[in-house]
Amino acid sequence: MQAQRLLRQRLLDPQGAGMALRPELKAARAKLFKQLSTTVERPGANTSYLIIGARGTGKSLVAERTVAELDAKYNTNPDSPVVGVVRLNGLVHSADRVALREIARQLCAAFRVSFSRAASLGNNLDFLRDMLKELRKGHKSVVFVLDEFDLFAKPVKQTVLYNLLDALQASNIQAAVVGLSARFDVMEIMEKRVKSRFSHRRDIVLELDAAGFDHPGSGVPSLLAAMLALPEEEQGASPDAPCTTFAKAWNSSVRAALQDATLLAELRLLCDKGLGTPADLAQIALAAVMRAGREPGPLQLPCLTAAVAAAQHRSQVDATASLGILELFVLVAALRLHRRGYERVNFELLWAEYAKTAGMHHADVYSKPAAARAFQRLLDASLLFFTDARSERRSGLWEFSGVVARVEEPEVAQALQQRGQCPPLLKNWLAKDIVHVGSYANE
Amino acid sequence: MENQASCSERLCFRWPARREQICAVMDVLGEPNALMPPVFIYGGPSTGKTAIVRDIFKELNRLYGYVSCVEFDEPKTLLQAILNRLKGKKRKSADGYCGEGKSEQTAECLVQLQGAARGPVKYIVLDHVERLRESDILAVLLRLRELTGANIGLILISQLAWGCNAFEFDTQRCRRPHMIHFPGYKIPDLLKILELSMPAGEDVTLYRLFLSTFIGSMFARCSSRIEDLQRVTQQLYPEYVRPVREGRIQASQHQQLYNAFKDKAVAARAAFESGLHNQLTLSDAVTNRGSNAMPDNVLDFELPFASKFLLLAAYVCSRNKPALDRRLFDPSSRAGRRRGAMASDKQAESAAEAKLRGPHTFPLERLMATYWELRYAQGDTCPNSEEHQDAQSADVFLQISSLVSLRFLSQAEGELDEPKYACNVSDELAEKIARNVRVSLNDYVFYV
Repeated sequence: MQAQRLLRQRLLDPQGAGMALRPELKAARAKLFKQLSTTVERPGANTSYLIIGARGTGKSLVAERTVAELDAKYNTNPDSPVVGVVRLNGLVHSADRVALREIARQLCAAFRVSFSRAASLGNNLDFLRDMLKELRKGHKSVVFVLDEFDLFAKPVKQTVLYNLLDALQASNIQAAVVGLSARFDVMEIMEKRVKSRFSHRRDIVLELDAAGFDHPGSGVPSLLAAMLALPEEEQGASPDAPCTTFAKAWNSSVRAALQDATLLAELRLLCDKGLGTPADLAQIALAAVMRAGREPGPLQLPCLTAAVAAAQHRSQVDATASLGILELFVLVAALRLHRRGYERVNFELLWAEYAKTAGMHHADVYSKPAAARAFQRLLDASLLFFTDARSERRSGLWEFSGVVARVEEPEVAQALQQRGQCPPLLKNWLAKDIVHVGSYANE
Repeated sequence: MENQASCSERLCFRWPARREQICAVMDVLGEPNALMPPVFIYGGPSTGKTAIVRDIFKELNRLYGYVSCVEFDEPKTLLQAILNRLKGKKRKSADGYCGEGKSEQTAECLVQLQGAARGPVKYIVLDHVERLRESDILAVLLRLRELTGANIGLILISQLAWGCNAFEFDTQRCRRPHMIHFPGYKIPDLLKILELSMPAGEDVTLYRLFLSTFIGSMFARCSSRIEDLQRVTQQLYPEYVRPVREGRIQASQHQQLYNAFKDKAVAARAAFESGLHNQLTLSDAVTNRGSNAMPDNVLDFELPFASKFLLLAAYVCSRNKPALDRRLFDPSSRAGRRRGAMASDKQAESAAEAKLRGPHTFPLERLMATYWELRYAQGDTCPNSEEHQDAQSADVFLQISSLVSLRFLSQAEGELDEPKYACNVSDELAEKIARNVRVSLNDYVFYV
């Protein structure tokens, strides 16, 4: 159970507590750390630094880890911290009133100053400048971590970025701005006055290399193993850690599970689909760990297999598979019409198409009102949707409003396969344009 | 550990055919106080998502806050509501049951969340998350831990699947949560669930037989909503066992019971399919079908005489192609070319196609022209007096605008000086109105 707690903690922690980094992230971390520690140590050095990389490659992990290390290295005296950290997220803090208030709040918390909740935007801006001046006198430094950096550059005039960078330059304080973004063109979308205050240091964190799947240090299986590994050395200090014998058994069980050929093939397929980013892998690992909590003992292969299968994200297929028979008939009718060149269809067309099956002697012949209800349920499930968004509200003739199917034929075919107990006529009807009455009977 | 296993056993007994899902949810919740990622539970309506999640919490004896996104659709109020659940505030009558505190900025709420969620894990169940799609708040919620460090276990319940283009947009700013799917019940499972709600004191074998012969094969195939099926079972079962109660048929004579009830079931199914059983009880539908016939040419609502013609004209305009007007209304062009059999086949085909494609829009002038043609054909105004026509025009325009406000017509696209209208009259209604004013629609509506 301690293993459970430890691994959940690690996989959900933004710092990835105690997990080994992959080589690429290690290099990125070393670069960032060097940059930030010069800022802290040398007077008058302020920097800005961008980390760019696709989603889920570990940008935040690198930044958080580095900041934590800085904290451990320099803030030795808890009563007077040397480095303060301010974290902002573009999703929440992209408006300048909110952002400056949050900066003031976090600065106050970091340097033990009382924070005034009633301060206005102007007050907070003045406070930021004064604070930075004071900090410079005391040779203290601040690190600003700006997650979703591109969102700060989205509002017109980019006032948050401008005010922040301008304050930093004016006060000549030892400070660093670390921006994290998934947009590779983030340098280009910055305004000129912002850009000129931004030093052009950046680092790109690359995705996992598909060719290096089996690489011992950075391949997918080895990453998974690193995420799931328990510390083996004797740790008298922390009572949380599981005992060494259990950790050894656990680790060897994980290694053995990751040797399995079918599991590896599944993982490779996942990576080829672009679903194998480190963040996705962490999710797989977490799912496996949670499942392993069902019975005591080390993690076994079935847990991992189930976790990988769940990571395929076929939710669309799942949703289609749990539809009723009549709903499926209506959906397939829409697909047939699309195939015949209709850009959009309406209920009357769908009903006419479905009504053609009435002569095929099957059990699922329903009335028109029943089909209308099925149509409505498909709309609710967002598998069909109105091409004109106003159709929903208009009281007019809904049966003639254009709709489009939002699933593809292969998905529906897969769903029918998955569903079981599906009339063979339906499968045939989906697969072929013309269905002969006799042709499905003998299948 | 033991406790958890016995809990899940009890839950699985209470919720048939949901073992996998219950186990998956329990796995995520883990032992008391275990950290958990945000979970996204999805599945169609009536698959037991909310009920099961609530029951699991009850069985595990853990507290949780329940927030429905139907109630709070603004990001600010939603966060505020979550915050209040965490703080354990209650809505009181003193502040008019709003009680959610003053809504503040998102950032401010997050700061407060940080303070509110210290210590042990607190669970928040968010229902109807499909309402939050295409809103930034979801991305914030899925990162609560990162943004605030708060120890919150978030459980999202949605009727929509994650992949329906609904949640993933804008370069995937939302991180994918851990997902658990609640699939629709299969028919045998549905019967098992219905068995659980059997009224006390009934014959179990007879009840099962009724479920499998009638509900399973006839009703469950067209709707898998449990409340629908429960209702239909409640209504039909007494009818089914009546011969046994009255001693006409022995309970063991299955075939006779089947034959006695078959017709009633078929009649009930017709009402059930169309969802009518919600309004009238099924036995009504069984007994008096088709008794409420009205006299043929009476409308059940009042309309001015000219409005009826306007509606008919609009109906004709929206169905026929403009090119057809001349052939219909200009007597001098009646002598058309003769067409071959092939051509008339083709025309019939495209007429059927146009009928299915639905009505189209038409300009005001065409509507007016058709209106007057219909009136002349009726012969109740003198066809040649131009003045008369002009005098009535103002009145007619007034009626058009009132028809628009009644939603019989609606203004579609078109410039200011040439508005276009769409006709919202269904075929049945048009037929009724035509009978009422003694116009034969078949003479006018050809679709091509």
